[in-house]
Amino acid sequence: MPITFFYIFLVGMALGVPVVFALILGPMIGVLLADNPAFLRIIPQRIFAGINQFPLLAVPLFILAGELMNSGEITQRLVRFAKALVGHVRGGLAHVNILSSVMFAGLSGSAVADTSALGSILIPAMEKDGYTKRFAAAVTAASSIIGPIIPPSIIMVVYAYIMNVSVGALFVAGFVPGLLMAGGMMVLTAVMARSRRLPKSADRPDLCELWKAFTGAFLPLLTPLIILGGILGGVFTPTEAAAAAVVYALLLGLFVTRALKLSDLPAILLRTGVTSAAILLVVGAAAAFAWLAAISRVPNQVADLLFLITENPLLLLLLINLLLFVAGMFLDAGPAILILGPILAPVMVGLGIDPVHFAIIMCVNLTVGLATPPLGLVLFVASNLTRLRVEEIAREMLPFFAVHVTVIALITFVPALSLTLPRWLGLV
Amino acid sequence: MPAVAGIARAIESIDRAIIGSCRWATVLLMAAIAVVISVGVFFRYVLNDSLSWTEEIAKYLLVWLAFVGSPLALRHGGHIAVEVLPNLLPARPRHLLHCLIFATVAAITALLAAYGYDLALNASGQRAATVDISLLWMMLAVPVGSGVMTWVAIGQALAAGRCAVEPRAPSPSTPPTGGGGSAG
Repeated sequence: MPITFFYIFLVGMALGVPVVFALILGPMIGVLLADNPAFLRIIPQRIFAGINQFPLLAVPLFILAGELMNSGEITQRLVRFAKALVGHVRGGLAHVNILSSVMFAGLSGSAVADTSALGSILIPAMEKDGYTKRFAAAVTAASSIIGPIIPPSIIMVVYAYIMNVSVGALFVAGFVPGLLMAGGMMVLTAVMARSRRLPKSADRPDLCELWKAFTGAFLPLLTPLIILGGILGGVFTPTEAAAAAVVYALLLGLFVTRALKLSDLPAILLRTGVTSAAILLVVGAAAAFAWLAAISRVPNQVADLLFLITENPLLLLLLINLLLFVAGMFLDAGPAILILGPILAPVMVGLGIDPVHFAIIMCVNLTVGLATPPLGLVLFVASNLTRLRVEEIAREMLPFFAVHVTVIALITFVPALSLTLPRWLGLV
Repeated sequence: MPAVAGIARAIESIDRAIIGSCRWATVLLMAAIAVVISVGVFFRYVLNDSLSWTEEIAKYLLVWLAFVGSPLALRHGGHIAVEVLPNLLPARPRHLLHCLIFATVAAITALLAAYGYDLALNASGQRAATVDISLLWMMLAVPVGSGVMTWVAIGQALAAGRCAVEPRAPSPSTPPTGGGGSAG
């Protein structure tokens, strides 16, 4: 098979055809041009088989758990706890925003959900406190990318499925990079707090408030423990862990916070279902696409091309990071992983890079791409919340962005950052 | 003209019925997936008696969810697209481009529906592994969902085309600005 289908896919996408349909359009026209119409029947079959997978059930379930937590006013409790911890320093609410993102990341696996949940609470609060709207939006967007890096993570579920890596290992490996992101951004915020005279408002909370905030957030913060403990202890598959998180979120919302009403459920289920359907259809379409790419030997051709430039693994990693970065600017993280993972990962693993290490590089890099224009969904959400233009938020984000790039470089060239924890636990 | 208005009304009520069924199906499928997986866990760990059918059924429900939820995502701009080029264009050419894009989507999904239907009929002789149901019912998700997407896409192509011709026409739903179906 010639690789015409790849170019058709690129052209379709550049014209504005939704990515999922461009992924089907390319192979359809490709097999027709190659005079191989029998392959047309295989496309729907590959899509069906690509979605009909047990590990993928974790996608809608993790999204549902996050939605339930948010509707159950768990988010408010996390923010209150973060405020009690760091709210009193200069630039307090910016720190609160980042710390809340870390806690929220343990409940939800999506940066987009993080931005809309925390942004709708914290951006108005920050404005009232004297921050500019632009800065508030930038901190929210920049810190929300921690969501898919600290477990659970939808894109890691997708990566693990398409590349046959252990979800548990990826989840554990994401911890340190996620905390590095948070730490880096908090150091930057502390510096900015002085140089830009960021507001300082709240007083140091008394022990009573600290205790109350802690007990309010305690049960929700057990969620990542249930998920990870269950998976690593061999009690749950990731899909079952996601279902357990759904049940836990439902119980918390109905009986502990009592903010969730049964009558809210249809709307939550609909929202979750539609979001999941769009993601799943991309997974199916990408499976069909990857099948055609494999029989057209695209991975080999890309490998040859890369080796033509250099065979030094470190230089290749640098090069691939640049490539991923550009891809992340124009593609959503899910499709980027589904298209590029099967092409790039075998090359790097062949050169001796650990599969889990490469998975983390790829996931973190493409997650940062969620907050870069022109196609950065996190920026779109922040822009919707604030009515600011995407470019304005992106410009304000530049310093945070420098932190993101530094962390990507660190985890690329220091494998121990990703691999130490999973090694301790005997996962790699 | 009354005939034209009557047809338009009929199409609108058909559309409402189709989209309404998709919404309810999405809600029920999403709930069913959560319940089936949870029941599976409960039986295995609490009652120590694992059910054989939960995994397979949940997987088929997942396929149905993907295909009945996708038309809704299409209607509300939930399928992510790179909107750089359309956004660079002035209103009229932009509507024209959107018309073209939705027409392409209609064609793709129609082909998918046709071949998917073939596939489903071919599989109708086979039974699922753990329950006595014909695979036809599982595979029908592809043609049914794709067919509904064709319907939605045609409607959107027409709406965009109308905007290109008469600029005052109500603008069709534009691609996402709210994050839609992002995996991130």
